[in-house]
Amino acid sequence: MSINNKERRNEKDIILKIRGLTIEFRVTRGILRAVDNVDLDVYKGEILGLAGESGCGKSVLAHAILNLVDPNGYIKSGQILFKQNDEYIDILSLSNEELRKFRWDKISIVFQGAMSSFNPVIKIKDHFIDTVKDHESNKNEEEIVKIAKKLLKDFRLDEQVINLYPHEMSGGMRQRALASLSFILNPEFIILDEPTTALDVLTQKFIIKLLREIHEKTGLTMLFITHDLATLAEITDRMAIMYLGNIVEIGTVRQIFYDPKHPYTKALLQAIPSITKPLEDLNPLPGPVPDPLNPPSGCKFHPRCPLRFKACSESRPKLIDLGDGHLVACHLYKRN
Amino acid sequence: MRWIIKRLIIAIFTIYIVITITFFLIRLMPGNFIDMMVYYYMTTYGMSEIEARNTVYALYNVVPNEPIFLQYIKYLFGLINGNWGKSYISNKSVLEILLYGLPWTAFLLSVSLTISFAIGILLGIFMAYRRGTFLDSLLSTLSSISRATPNFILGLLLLYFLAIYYPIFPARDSYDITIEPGLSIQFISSVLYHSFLPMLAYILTSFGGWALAMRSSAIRVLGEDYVMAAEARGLKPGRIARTYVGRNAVLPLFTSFAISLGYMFGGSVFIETYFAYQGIGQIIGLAMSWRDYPLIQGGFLLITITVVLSNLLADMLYGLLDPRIKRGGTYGG
Ligand SMILES: Nc1ncnc2c1ncn2[C@@H]1O[C@H](COP(=O)(O)OP(=O)(O)OP(=O)(O)O)[C@@H](O)[C@H]1O
Ligand SMILES: [Mg+2]
Repeated sequence: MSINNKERRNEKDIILKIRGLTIEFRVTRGILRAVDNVDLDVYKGEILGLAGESGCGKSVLAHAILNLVDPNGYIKSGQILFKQNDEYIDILSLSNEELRKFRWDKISIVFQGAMSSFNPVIKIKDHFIDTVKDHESNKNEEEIVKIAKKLLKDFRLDEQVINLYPHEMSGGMRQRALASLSFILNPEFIILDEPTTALDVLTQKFIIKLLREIHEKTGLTMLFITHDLATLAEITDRMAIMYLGNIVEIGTVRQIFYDPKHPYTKALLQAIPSITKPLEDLNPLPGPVPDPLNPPSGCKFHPRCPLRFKACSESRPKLIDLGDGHLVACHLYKRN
Repeated sequence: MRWIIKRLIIAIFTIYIVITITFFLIRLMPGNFIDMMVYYYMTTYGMSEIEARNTVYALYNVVPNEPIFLQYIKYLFGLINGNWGKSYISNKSVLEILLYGLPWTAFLLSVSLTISFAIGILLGIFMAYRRGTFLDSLLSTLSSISRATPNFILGLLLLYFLAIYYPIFPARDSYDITIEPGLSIQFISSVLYHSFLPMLAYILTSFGGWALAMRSSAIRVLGEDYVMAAEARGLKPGRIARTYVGRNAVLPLFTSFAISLGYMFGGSVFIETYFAYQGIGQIIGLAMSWRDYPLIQGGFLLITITVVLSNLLADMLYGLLDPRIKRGGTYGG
């Protein structure tokens, strides 16, 4: 893998900088903070993995990168800076029309719910055509269909799929069609939210390999979201671990897998099932996931943490750099 | 194609069932409907019993002492051949009278319904996009008032104020009878002029229902993932509103569209009577006040056919717009 030559990272190569991002939802029982003061850098040309338990805020964070929030939610604070021609633009402060043109052209996203991401009353073809037409009005339909067919083929779909309606396809087909659609405008950055969950193991392996190939060929930047750490290890350069709306650790695949720092990361790694390990050796975390409406004080992980001490319930640890770009938010560690 | 044929067969079958039920109701109803009618004609028109009985038999195509099954078959063939009985009052064929009124009612209702549907759809989607705002509450209230007002009451008000008190619009007829009917500008503008108030009564009392139905349907669609996905793709807002929100939100409204077309046919009695508009509604209204039973019966059969056909039409439109139904063929029975 190409990790080594990418380890020396340069501030200049950051394509996406998320700063102090907080996202909340109005729910019947109160206010739910799904993303809590998140800082995250994505380097140009890397594949960054984002992992964490179900409900920790991965999808909400991913959608926010395109300034998309469900109607009952809002971005409370923060900046999402995207590098364009050597300067950063804040995605959250673009005008409506600027934002519309920015979306999919610069950053595209493969939604987790590939099932419901297609309009049920129009054909797959029309999704490609609508998208291209609203961005580059000079392309004609034949050209668009030609490119779309090629993309579908790349993702191992028959090109005739283009004439189907969404309900005529299986879940896996839809997921791959959605992945093809995310490439139609040649974006610089692609967000993949659980892109392989509806696929069988062989197709899953194939898609991972294909994404790696595309990445190597084009230098496309990707944010790859999954709760499957094994998959992340296969495809990503660096990964970020999320817990209850906070990023708790960021590091290279090697740092995370061989030298995890945060007790939560350690617990996650322990919980990866493997055929060579007996089931009893799996160490599930003690206690339930806390109620996101009433998160614990201090470090949100402390009630489940085997190594907690007094400070953990009193103040929230900040992400600190341990050197070599290995960042952790835990009171056990001091800034290097 | 097979799907349409299936719907067509169901439609024909429904009409057949209604005809059969009416046939047997008249002949086998307890208390004997025929005897009742004979008595009615004897007392009202001073006929002798024989005279009255012959009249009633002729009107309802009843042949005494013939096996009921044979009568039934003859009756069915009679209907198919256009023998819907004779109007007692005018002594004309029922079908002839009804077919004269049909185009007028069809014109009045289809134009009103289309216009109110279009207004309702646009208003509804507009309200859905502005949900929770002052404008939304205002328009919702207006729509509720529109939906709750009976069309004949508004019709009366319009008639009084805009045709009688301020005689801006004509108070009767479907066109100026001094003008020769034909494809002339004069005739067409006269038709539009005469139909303006009845149409206004229909439109103003029905757009609100459509708007409210569309509003809630569109709000539901706005929460669908594919709308957010369309926004993520940077599609133009107009396209999202039309192809993604509008098309999906309007689908469930098509069934009500059809039902209301049939409903309005039945309800056209009031408006057409007030405005002396020569349609089915006025004919049925007159037939009822004169107790012209063959004509009433024919009128109801025609309404039934309209309801069934408009349902069929809605199903076909639905199939055209929603690919899941056309292809899957699992919708309905
Ligand atoms: N529209 C919404 N309204 C209310 N709460 C929401 C909404 N969307 C997400 N949430 C909440 O935000 C939190 C994060 O959700 P999110 O979908 O980002 O989880 P996730 O990490 O992607 O999980 P998964 O791995 O299951 O996809 C959850 O507690 C969820 O209940
Ligand atoms: Mg998710």
